[in-house]
Amino acid sequence: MLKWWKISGIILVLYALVGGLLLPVPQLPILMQSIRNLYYHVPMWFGMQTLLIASAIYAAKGLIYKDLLHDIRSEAYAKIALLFGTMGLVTGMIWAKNTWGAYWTNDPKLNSAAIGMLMYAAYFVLRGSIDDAEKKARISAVYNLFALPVFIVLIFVLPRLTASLHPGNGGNPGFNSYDLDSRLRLVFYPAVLGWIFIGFWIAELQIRINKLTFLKENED
Amino acid sequence: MTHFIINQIQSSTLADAGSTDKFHVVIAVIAMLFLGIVAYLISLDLKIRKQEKK
Amino acid sequence: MNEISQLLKKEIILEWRQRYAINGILLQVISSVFVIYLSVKGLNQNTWNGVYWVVMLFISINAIAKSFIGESKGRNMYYHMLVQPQNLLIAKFIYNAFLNIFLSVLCISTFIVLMGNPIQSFKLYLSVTLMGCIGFAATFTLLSAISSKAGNSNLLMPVLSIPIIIPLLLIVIKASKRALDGIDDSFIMKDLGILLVFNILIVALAYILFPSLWKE
Repeated sequence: MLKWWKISGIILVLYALVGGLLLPVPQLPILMQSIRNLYYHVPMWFGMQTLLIASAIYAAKGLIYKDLLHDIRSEAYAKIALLFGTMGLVTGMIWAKNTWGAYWTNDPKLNSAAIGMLMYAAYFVLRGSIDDAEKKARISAVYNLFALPVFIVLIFVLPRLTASLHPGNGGNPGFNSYDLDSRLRLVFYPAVLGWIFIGFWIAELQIRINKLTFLKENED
Repeated sequence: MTHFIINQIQSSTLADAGSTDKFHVVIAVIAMLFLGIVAYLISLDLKIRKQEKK
Repeated sequence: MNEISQLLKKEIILEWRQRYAINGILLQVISSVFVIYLSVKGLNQNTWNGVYWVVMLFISINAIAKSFIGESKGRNMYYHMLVQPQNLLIAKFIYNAFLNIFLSVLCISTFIVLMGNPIQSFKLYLSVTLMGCIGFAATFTLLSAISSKAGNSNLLMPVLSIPIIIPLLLIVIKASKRALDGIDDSFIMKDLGILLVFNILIVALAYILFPSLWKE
């Protein structure tokens, strides 16, 4: 019936949703129970990044093989990545309000995430401004491939150059031991994997719908 | 070093935070919501498959 | 190599013939700095630096946007048939980089004349500015090509460029703030290194991607 990764996506996310609320977590100052948001907030960013990489890969394939189907894939992955980014931003803002005291702090990671979202919003503005399908595929693929490395620099390099409220600040990569307590790991890794699967599933549905309409238009 | 210290920190569940049975209702609602989304995705998946076969 | 220098020469000659474009940009630099002088008197060091870079950002977008957008259709056909796409990009990039450096020097001078000189180590500030200008030129040259190909280019150019330039802008602002404060050289050397690597990345990307954008 359903492919294995879709089923495991459902099971993993369900486990993360329920287990994330029920299983014990380390008791830390300030974070308190809100540390559970780690299971909901962080997987969104992992999902977004994986989807964006998939989008760029298909953009490159589209440029090389000149196949419009690759462009359909590239667009759908970017779209779902933007959806995940929005959810990551919202969950992050709620978390920030409860731990740092404000919805928006002048934190490099927050700002980077917002700028990254703007970059990909511009991608869709660019797509919208071109009518011809072949031209749209080519030009937006070029922009996509130019934007991804810049986005990676923005997300992974820049926050490390300045102090951040996020864990692993001041020149130290992402997750330190503080996040990866063994109790957290038990739910966190399945959550990341599960949400990535769900993201790809949603994107796949979008791709198949777009493909069908594309084929139908070409018939006429 | 931090790792060592953190592992000493006590575990806590939400029940320790002084919540009641209401809490289980919240979990049930969240799970139902997610299952609803999954059901929608599955139905969409099947519908698209039917179209593709044509 | 020969082709690049030919294209570069053509670019300069054309600019000289239609002087109104370059004059317009120069006027824009001076008038925008003057507006800032009139609206916020007495900038402190931090804002001096920040405002300087924001002015530079908008001026370079405007100056470089026309490098592909301004080309007539006929001339584009001519390029298609006669020159290697990479050479065209490199020629435009070199020209834009020099234009940008010139504009930034002009901009710094007007800032200093109108609002005083807070820069402690001028040499380092200029080298950071140089790096920033090269990065701006590379990014905007490619984006100008993208938006000219997409049509509706006057709207697209700023929409595409502003988010994408922010990473570079942030690095440049931080590095130039250090030069402005006269902090120990070794810090700025590290920043310059990061800028250099970032610039190489952008130029390489533009070089690889441009041919597939250019061919019809």
